Amino acid sequence: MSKSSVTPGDAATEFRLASDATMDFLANVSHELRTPLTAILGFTEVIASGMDGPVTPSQAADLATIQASSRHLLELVDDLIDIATIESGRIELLRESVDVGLIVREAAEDTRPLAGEKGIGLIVDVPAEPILASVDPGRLRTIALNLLSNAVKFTPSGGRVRVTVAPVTGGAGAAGAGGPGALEIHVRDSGIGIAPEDLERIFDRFVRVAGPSVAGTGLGLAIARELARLHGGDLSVASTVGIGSTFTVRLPLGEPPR
Amino acid sequence: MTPSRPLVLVVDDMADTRRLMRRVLERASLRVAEAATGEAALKAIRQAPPDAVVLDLRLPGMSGLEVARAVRADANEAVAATPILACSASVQPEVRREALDAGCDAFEGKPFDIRSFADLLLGLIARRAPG
Repeated sequence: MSKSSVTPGDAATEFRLASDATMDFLANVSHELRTPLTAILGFTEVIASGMDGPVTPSQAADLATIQASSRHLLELVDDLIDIATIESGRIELLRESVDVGLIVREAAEDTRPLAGEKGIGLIVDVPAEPILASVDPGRLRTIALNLLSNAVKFTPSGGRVRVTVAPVTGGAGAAGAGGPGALEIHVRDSGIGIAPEDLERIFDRFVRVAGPSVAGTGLGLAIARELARLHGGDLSVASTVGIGSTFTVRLPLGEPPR
Repeated sequence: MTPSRPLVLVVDDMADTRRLMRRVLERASLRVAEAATGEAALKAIRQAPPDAVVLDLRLPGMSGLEVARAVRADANEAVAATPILACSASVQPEVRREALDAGCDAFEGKPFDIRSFADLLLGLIARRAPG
């Protein structure tokens, strides 16, 4: 199995050099945006914490808006880096054997403040015993966080988001008899739902079928699907308008043969 | 354990970031010294090792990684053992790995959580404290 070597002047090499420059540029943009955001978020939190003296309820609400807007900017920066990294085709999964349940639980805890602010119940239904899989923990965390924050964003106040993790037996995903098997992560919301004609479009980059009223970059689901596919799995959705949506990540437990 | 309040050297080329860190750390009863360049930081650490260092990585001149390596390689054991928290707005996994490989004890991305920042440093100080 020898791969053809790449010599300078090849289209492939030039593409790679171009994406090296692009990645360097994006890394610089990320750094340059994060530096002022450190001061904005940090000093806002200093004031909001009451360190400088009492904060009135109206000031607290204003400060919360500054924080939410700054975090949105930060999210946009992170999403752009993620999508550019995927686009460059050089994304490298750092696989290790990890407990997928633990990573999903941690992502749910990170989402809990956002859910709490909207009065949304976040239910985590993950078995106590570890579900071990060979995955890139950082990338899996991104998948889980993107799906959970998406669910919370599109669920009205008082609604519910439920995340479950479970091994699946048989069917597609298991590499034949005695194969490593697969697992599924479900994120179910009681949100606005997605019209049938939009079901596949939501995975396209920058597509935001809900319009601009909900804060978001239109990149989170595209990134989650790409990362699931890089793992040899997939991300799919089922939805009923007005009832809610269920996103399903299916991942093989082992590393698929290349 | 030193009886006095721990001293943290904040190394960052951005004055705003140094001021933010000073506010947060002094609030947690830590003492703070500042350096705006890697060269000034290394000189200060060699003169009198602080209880911990917060080290920006992208600095004009000597980089944070170079400072960390120089501290770890120092002949004076008290200097070489100084706890270092790398703190950078470059948050890619490879940057974190480079920082730890250069001898930093931990890595914190920017923007950092001001509520846990002082505890992070106190944890590093406790880990290095003799006894």
